[in-house]
Amino acid sequence: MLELLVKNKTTKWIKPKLQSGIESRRAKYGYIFASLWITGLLLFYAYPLISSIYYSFTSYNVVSPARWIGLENYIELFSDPVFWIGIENTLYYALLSVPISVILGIFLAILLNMPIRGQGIFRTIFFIPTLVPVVATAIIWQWLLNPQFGLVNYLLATIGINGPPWLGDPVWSKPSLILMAQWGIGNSIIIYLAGLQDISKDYDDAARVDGASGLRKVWSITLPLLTPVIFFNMVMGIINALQVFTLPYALTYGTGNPANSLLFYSMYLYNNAFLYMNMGYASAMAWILFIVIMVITLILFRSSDRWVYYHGD
Amino acid sequence: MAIGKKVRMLNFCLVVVLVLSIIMLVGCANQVSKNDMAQEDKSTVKSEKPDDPSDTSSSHKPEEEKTKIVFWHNWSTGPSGESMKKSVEEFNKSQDEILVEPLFVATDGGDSITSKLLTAVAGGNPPDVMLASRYGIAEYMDALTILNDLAERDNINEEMFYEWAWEESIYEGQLLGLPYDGTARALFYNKDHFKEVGLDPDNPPLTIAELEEYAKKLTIKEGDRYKRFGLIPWYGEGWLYSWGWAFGGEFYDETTGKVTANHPKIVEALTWMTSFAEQFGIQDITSFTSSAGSNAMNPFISGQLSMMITGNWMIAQIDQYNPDLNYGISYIPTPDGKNFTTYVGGRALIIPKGVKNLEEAWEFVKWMCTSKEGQSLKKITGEFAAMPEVNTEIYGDDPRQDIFLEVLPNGRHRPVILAGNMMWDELAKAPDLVMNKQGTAKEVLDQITDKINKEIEKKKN
Repeated sequence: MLELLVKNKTTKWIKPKLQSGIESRRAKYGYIFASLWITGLLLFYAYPLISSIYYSFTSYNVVSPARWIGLENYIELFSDPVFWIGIENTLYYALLSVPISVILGIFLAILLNMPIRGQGIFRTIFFIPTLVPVVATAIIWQWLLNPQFGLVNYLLATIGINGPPWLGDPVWSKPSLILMAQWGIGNSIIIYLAGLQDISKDYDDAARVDGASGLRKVWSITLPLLTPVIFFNMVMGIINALQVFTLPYALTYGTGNPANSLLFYSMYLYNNAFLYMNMGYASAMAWILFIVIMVITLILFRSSDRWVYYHGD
Repeated sequence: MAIGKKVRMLNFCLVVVLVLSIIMLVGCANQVSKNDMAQEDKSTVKSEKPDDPSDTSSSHKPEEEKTKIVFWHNWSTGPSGESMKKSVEEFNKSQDEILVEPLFVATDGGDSITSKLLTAVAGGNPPDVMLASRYGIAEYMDALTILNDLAERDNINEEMFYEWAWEESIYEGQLLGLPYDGTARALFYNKDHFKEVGLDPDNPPLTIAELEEYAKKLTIKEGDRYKRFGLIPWYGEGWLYSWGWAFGGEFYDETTGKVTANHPKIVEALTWMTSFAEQFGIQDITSFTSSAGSNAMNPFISGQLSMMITGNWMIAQIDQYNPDLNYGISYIPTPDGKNFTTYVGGRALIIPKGVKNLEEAWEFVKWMCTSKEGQSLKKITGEFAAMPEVNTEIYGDDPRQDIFLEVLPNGRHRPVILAGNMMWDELAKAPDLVMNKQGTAKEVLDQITDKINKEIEKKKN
């Protein structure tokens, strides 16, 4: 985000015709200021990025020179059962967590947008959990979901339900993780709130004059006008979900237990790169993930013509 | 309109930037960890110096004239942290030429700091000495100084160490490091619980059949909730390695150089471990094990578990958290009640490739691993020295260590292969996979064996 802002600023400076000396001098300073960032980008982003393409075709363990093996890494990946487990788990997670967070996020944002007393307090409350570091979140939830002494199962027991072992059971572990991930929903709520406030009051007034109910207004006015923001959050949500790493890694110490049910793609990638000394293999995994994310994102963009309405379009 | 397009463009740019950033995960981590290390480096050096004024006062040479070597370890707190601190202090006091600067480096998955070591070696700035888990070092032997010549010159050979310690430090004849210590496992059992259910507390189970029978007797179920378990085979240190060897299995075939994790005896061991889960209900056991805490909350220490496979370091923990616990220590039972063995892990001290002060680093490694002074400091952690004579000296008068000292010479070590970490990870998961019906013991172990052998083959090419 920040990088993008900087980029926009510099282009803004450069774009107008350089009419006066002041402007050209300004442009020069623009370049100078931006050069630091550009150098960093080339050195720490572009170089590793490009070299990882090369390494994905090699057998490379970081200390010894890389050995060219052509497509072998890719071929091997497709016959690696753990690779497929990683893909399956990751898609499962993305397919469930993204819709849930979109629906929950919009719902909460609409509630938090209501002009009631203590609005600011409620907004703060929903945002606070996002400030908790992910590793701390993992530990808090491990306690909450503890099968014998946890608060969740205690509450379930008071209404007569014998709670599952949550993170200990391969059936419940991913739903538990999705639940935990909603802990950090505050960020998308903020974006939805901004989107909601962007919707002109005029539509609302007009609908009220026509006698539309509150629910009808949400469905026919608010949601369509919010679609650009929903679209944005969805794309970001999918990208983040497909790269899910920190929370399950911290929860399982990288093992993906129980029964590989929390072994996500990025975790297997990380283990290959830094634990099993297969940097080439891991690079190949990274590029496959890149292609998958790219394709899904492009499909989403294609579909957006049909359901995303921009103001004034 | 224009705004719409702009928003769309903005969306697209953001997406591209973010998508690209995942790819950098691989490339960038190198840079990040290197920076981290540099920072840790400084802070540790700063904090260590004022810590040991005694060191400088007892030395004849001023600190600046000594050769400084950097020693990486991953033990920061508790007895293990204490043992590292003490060892370095003692070594620095013991001679006048070398100043060891210990540096705590956090582990990155597993019990190792290998990824940080690799990046440091690749970056040309390795530590002089590092503490590493033995089973994994062959995997990154390219980053190590091979020590055969130095060992030969200084008459250091297999006679000084346990077989498991020495053999686990060698890959295809190359000495990768000097063995430093060992961790051994045995059966701990609660004598009070034995008396309570009418078992003889001085006759712990020796065969698998007895173990099963005792476990059933010791388990208490109240309503639909277990109040106490007699035994959970895979809990604590009940790894597949522990049981596989107890059942007489072999994980590796020296002659073919192939991993044999699907050895019939290991399949038998895994089947037995997981049949336990079926008897008591996987859900209930999972609830129990995933609720269990550590230290004072350890279910054996708190009396919720009557028998447990664990390591000798547990003795110190019990002393600390529940000194009144009336417990005994026995062999890990075997099918026929004979040929007891133990699974021994442990660490080695390694010298990375390209160190500037090889001789000084070697001196320190030698002191830690082959001198009585260095080795006897293992008493602090309650684990074993790699030299048999030192263990007799430091643990000989403690009857609780008798069983351990007896089986140690028969101890088994994990195979030294090019995929030690992967094999560990995969085997650690195996019981879980079988219990959750992802395949039979045979199927799961066949798959693991195949995967590891392929990986080794790939790395050999």
